[in-house]
Amino acid sequence: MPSQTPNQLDDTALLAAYAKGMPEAARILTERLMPKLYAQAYHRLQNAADAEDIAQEAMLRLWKIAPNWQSGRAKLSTWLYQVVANLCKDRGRKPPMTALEQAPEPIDPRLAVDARLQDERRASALYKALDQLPSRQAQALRMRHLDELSNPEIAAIMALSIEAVESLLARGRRQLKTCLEAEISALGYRDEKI
Amino acid sequence: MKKFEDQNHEDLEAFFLSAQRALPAPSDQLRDRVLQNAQALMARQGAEKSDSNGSDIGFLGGLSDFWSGLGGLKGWASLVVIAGLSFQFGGVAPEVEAQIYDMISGQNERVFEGSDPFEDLYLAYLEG
Repeated sequence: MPSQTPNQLDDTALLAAYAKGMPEAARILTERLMPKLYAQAYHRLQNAADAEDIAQEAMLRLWKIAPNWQSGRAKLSTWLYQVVANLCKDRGRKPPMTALEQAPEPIDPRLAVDARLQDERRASALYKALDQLPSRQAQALRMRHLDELSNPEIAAIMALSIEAVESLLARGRRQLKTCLEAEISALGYRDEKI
Repeated sequence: MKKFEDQNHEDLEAFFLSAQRALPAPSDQLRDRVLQNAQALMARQGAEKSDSNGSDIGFLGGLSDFWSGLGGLKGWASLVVIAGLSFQFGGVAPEVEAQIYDMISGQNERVFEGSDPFEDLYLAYLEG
């Protein structure tokens, strides 16, 4: 079997390498996982400082569990997803740490100001609409369309069958569209077609 | 971004896409903090592992720890040298030192001053 470079290793193998004292494994895992954890937290809390805290805490828990991680136990990304979800739930009960004005610049500085403003308005409307949905529907929609998880991954996290996830998503989209109807008219979407 | 299976929801897709684009970038400090945590924990877990290896094997582990505590081979060598020098330069009680000196030099019959009952007789013999 040809030898693999560290970048080719899967998350579990990298975690085992970290536990054995390989700093390079920590670097690769950080680059691979941390942005996803941060995005997941941000889409729930809409606060960059809180999202950073949660991403850092989740990664810290990952380093702590590394020596005892059992590869057959669960998928690493699924475990981390649940860690972030729980941390967001806890943080959601506390007041936000920083004002919105202190949030860092958006990811793409080339976006024109008006386009950026439109994105922010749509994002804000979307988050509000998601908050109005039944929590299971909102959870499934966030996972599918913001966190970009596959239906089988969502099924594993929510302990549902894939068919149940599809049904949940279909109902969620219908309801979300109803909640967003006014904003769809006001903010438009035609210019965003892919 | 994954496409919606139901193309009637392209308007929703635009909203999700906007939310993705409006996501602020995480700071560079976050990456640094995460890596610092990783390194600190790696060092701590490494230290704990070596500690537990020492105690897990009972007496041998204790011996090993003791040996390491003394500085290994270098420590033992220093200890032996110090003991030898102490021996040589009066690190022990004078009487014991003298006895040991006699033993080493073969003067087992060395006579101590004031302890020989025939001393006067012997001196008279010498003086004729």
